[in-house]
Amino acid sequence: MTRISRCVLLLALLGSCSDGAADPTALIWARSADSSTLDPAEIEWGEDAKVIQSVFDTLVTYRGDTVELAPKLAERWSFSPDGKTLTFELRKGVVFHDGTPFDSAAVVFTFERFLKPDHPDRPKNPCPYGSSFSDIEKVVADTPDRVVFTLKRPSVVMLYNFTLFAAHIVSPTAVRKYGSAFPSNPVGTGPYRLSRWDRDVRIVLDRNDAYWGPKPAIPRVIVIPVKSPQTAIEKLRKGEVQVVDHPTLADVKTLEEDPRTKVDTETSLTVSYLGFNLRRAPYNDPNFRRAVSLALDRRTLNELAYHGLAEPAANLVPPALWKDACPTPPYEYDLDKAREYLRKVPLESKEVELIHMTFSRPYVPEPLRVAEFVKDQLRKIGLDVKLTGYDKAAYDQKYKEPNHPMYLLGWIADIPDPDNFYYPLLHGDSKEDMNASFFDDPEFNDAVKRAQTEGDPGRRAGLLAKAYARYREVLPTIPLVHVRQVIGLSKRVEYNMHPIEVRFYAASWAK
Amino acid sequence: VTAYLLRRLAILPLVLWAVSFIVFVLLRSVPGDPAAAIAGEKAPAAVRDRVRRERGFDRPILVQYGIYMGRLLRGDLGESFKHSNEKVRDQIARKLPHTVELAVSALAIASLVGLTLGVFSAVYKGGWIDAASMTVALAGVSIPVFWLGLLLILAFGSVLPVSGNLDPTYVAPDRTGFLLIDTLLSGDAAMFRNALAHLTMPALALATIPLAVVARITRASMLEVLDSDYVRTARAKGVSPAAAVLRHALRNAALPIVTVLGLEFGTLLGGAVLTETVFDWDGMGTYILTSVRETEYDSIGGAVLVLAFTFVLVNLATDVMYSLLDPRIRHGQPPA
Repeated sequence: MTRISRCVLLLALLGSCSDGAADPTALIWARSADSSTLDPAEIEWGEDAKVIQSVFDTLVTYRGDTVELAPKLAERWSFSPDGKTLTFELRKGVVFHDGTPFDSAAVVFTFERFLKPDHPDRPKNPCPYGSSFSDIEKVVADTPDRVVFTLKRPSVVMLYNFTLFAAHIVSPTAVRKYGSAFPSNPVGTGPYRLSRWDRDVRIVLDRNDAYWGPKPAIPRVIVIPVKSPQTAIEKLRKGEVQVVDHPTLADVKTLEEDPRTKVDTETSLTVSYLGFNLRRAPYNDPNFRRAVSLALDRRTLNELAYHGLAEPAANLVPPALWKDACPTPPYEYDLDKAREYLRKVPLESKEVELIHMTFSRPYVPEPLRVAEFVKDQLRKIGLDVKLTGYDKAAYDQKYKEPNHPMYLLGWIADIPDPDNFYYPLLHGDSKEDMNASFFDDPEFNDAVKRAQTEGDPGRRAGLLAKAYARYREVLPTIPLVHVRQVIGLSKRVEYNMHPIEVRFYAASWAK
Repeated sequence: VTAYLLRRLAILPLVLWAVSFIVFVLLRSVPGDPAAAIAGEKAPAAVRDRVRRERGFDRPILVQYGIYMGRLLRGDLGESFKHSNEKVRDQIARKLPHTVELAVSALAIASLVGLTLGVFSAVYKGGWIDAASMTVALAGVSIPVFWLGLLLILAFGSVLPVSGNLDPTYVAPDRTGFLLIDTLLSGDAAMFRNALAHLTMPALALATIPLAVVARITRASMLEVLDSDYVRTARAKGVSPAAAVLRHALRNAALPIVTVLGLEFGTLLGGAVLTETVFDWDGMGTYILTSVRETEYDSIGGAVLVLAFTFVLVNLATDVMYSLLDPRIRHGQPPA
């Protein structure tokens, strides 16, 4: 080859660098991180759940974009009169991606696998959602199309738990075949099957043409990690990807203004809150907590730290889940009243401490701004707030330490029921875990515990209202805001978010 | 040379042991509970305790160290807890070629451009070329990689890909792990171009610092040699100016340059952590960062060990190159 022709070749190679994609029919979905596992029983985070929600099916699901339960792999279900037996009638003729039939044995296998500590096919790590199913006494395959769950006690929220990650039905044949490699070779009954997973690079999902339900409109979805939201949005605008599911709230305006992109927003089951160590002065003084609550103007907080995409919170539970009992206005902002309450607190010094995370979470995308806001507002009532920020590993331990001060935290509910806020965040049983205020109030505990088994909707609402009243009175935590979830889309794509689930199969190309 | 090589190789295990020891001590002293990370945020305390027992995190620190060393000696780097217990060795085998590919590309750019700039500056010392190249070199060492990366994205983001190693719709055959080679082997020209385009900006960003260093060393080293008697003799004998510079001067000026290139390769492996983060490049840098975030003891330890090992090997290779370039070292005579 002559020197000149070599130069020409090099130029030609570099010349058309921004070549388009090899497969224009594929939908490319960018998110913040790759999955760490695709075994439903191992899944802890929403990021990991996204993919399995399209590869596997659950017995029950949510109807459309609501949070009402609807049939999926189970056609019908019923509770026994004492509420301790739950029977599912299964859909017939469904097959797993590996061709084996879906039946009651597969359901029993799926649940026993993570419930029984001595199960031969159990995952190596404990199932992160195991505790959501700890009320199950046993699972029995009654007939091939009927499976019966016996519960240790009646439970109203149990049915919702059948939508959770671990409840996605796996192919027993595949689990046995792949063993410890099953997390990279998931086999379910879902609308998409896994055709390729290059860890940290991409997950390729192809349409399951044998799917029992409505088949997805898009034949191939490629899910890729793009850590930085800014980079992902840049790729969205250039057409390299069609979906960015982790834009920051600040990006919403940019995406709305760009003619090539659009935004979808949806309510989320999240809350951010300030917590107090009820075992330490002055945080254990109810008047101190009342003063702090009155000093926080949630509307300004919404503008400052949430770009107006949140709503002020009156309760930990989002209003979508308890509309009837939602007070108006949802919170009170009154600096004079706050100062009055504060005067009743025997303060040793004006200095108090707030610990907070420095990393972004869906419920506090900009934790520093929230912390600064609290500091600023409390200065107005004469308190001097010392802020201490921690990264993830340190913070998870910090707010559980016995002598922590005020803390900033939040919660993403797994199921659309108030119990999923009250029990893990405030019940006495959860003091070792997420109840970092160490709130342990007999009246509250009793109401929440009874609401878990109360089948009558009216009486249940009464119990939950009682729990809420007690919460407002004691204020072990102060709810701040419920933020909306947002997604960035190419105008070529149609997709409506669901409040809880991520459904690749619901996307389609715009007409 | 053989005796020298053997001596160097004998020290290698000692160096690696020291690195592994430091990594172990550092990891055990930073905050964060690996058992809690494995069991998950929602796990009750009892499950956390069980994990702690099963994984041996409750054993005395010396016992833990013994187990850790025993595993290392068997070549077992452990497993990544939060990633279905995948072997750390397999993960690194996937990532290391990507980082090496990036570092080698950056080094190639740095030596080509750096040498050229350096030689021209030396030959036209004091002229505008000299001033211009040395300004570029000064800028190169001063600009932080991550900031330069962002500038590059701003400037070329519309024509070059801003993240990743390859467009996700392309599947490169998995033969060597090096994407440029694999895509070339695939015979698909568009795929190779795509890999090249993805590599361009990260490699450029990563190349700046070594480029600047190489340019300055080359200039200094060349200046020294250009004044020497043998270059003047060569010119007097009628050797063309270009040949005198390239064949007689550069060859003799090469020694310090090679040393610097060897050292810079180590810096490149470190710099790759930043560059990879800016460009979402799948390699050792992003791997270490993710592992630190997820409190993955084994992954962090394994990655640092492998990088240290690579660094030591490259240094060794540099020393060997050295003796090949300069016969005086080979024959045990001190260089003049």
